[in-house]
Amino acid sequence: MTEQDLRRIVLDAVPPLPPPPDRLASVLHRARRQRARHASVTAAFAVTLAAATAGLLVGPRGAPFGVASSGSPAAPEPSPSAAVTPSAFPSPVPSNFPSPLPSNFPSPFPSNFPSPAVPKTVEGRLEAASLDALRRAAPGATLVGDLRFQDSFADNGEYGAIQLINAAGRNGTLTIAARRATGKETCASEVAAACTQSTGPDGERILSVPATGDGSTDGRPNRALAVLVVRPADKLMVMVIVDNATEIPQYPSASQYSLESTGYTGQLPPLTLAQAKAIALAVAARTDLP
Amino acid sequence: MAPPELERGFADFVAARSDALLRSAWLLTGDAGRAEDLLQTALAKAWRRWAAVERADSPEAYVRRVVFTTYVSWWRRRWRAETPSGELPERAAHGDLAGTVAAQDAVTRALGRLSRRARAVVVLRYVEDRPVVEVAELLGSTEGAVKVLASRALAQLRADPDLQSLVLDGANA
Repeated sequence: MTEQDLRRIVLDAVPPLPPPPDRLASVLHRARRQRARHASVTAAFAVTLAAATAGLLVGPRGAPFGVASSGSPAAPEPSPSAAVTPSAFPSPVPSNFPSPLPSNFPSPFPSNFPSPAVPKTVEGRLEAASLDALRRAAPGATLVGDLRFQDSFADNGEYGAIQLINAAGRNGTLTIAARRATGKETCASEVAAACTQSTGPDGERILSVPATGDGSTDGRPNRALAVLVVRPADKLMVMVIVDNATEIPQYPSASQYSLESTGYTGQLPPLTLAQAKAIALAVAARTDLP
Repeated sequence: MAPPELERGFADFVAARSDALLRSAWLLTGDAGRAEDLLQTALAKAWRRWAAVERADSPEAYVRRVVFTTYVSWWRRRWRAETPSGELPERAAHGDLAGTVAAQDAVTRALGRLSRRARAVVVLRYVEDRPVVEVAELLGSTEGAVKVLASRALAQLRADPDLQSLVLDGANA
């Protein structure tokens, strides 16, 4: 097959694509919705920042509400992992994961010791919550590097992170993302027929999707599982995807980040559905998006 | 409120260039609804900066870049809960409908077996016939990385039985 053959058969396959009745109106409507969301986030940020400065607002576990990036297309924040923890204080989530302490180990800190600072950015909070959840759900799991969250700058304010993981003797990739829920997240809205829906301990809507992914490597399929946890009251959705990909493409620019992975093993993902569900529930319980 | 002339310029662009961009979006997504969704997402992003985009050498290059980077750089295609907006018109029937649909399915399956980034490279490099340097620029990658990805993807497509049968059909036609 020549390159010309490929071009011909691909172009011949493009079906007629009649336009919708008013594409321009649909596009402008999307843009307006996006602008309104940015404006409201910016306003809320200003108000909460002022209140937090005055010591009026304190969020769960002492975290100031709303002190996070607004989702504007600025350069990504530097890695948030250690930025807000006093240097003399050991980070509760070291980068050389996993923690040497088992989850039921008594706290090494005296009760009157000030609690570790909560990361200031939403990316930092997501990272801390995710690493803690992973340590509890899969104590033997190891990540090959930081689980660094980034703002996708998508319309609905998505934050995501991807990292290679080894657990139970299998290699793969862990992807965790959080965003505003639309309220329409149901199994009917997902592409996988095997999606099952259940309810979490705090009324969360849980969608579990074991699936074969959309790629293969030398005949070895991408096997993945995904769990979506929706907290309707908070309008929050957390998604955990575990698959058997062993490579994450590196891109030259931080703004070109991607949650793309490849190099599939064809084997089961390194985490089980129950572990992915536990991680998603734990992260959702500790996440507050701007 | 945008100035009327700005909106007119954008409307003209949408009317003139959407078909070509939509075709690229279909090659990326393999689905008419998702292609329209991808195109509208890219156009909405472009509209937010249209005053600057319009002054650029090629507004279409900017929007095309947004189409491809939006497609490549996020996982929403697989797991998002959004649904494409607008009613999709019925597909028109032409000639050998069964054969046409079979060819579409074969191409969609073959492209779908590529990673998202490889698929984007194939569409830009081999279907739209863009030079490597332009593909690299559009995808924010290096020329070397594009060459490697394109070569691997082409080898994979050449070995694809669905596409091989289409090539034979074309040769016998």
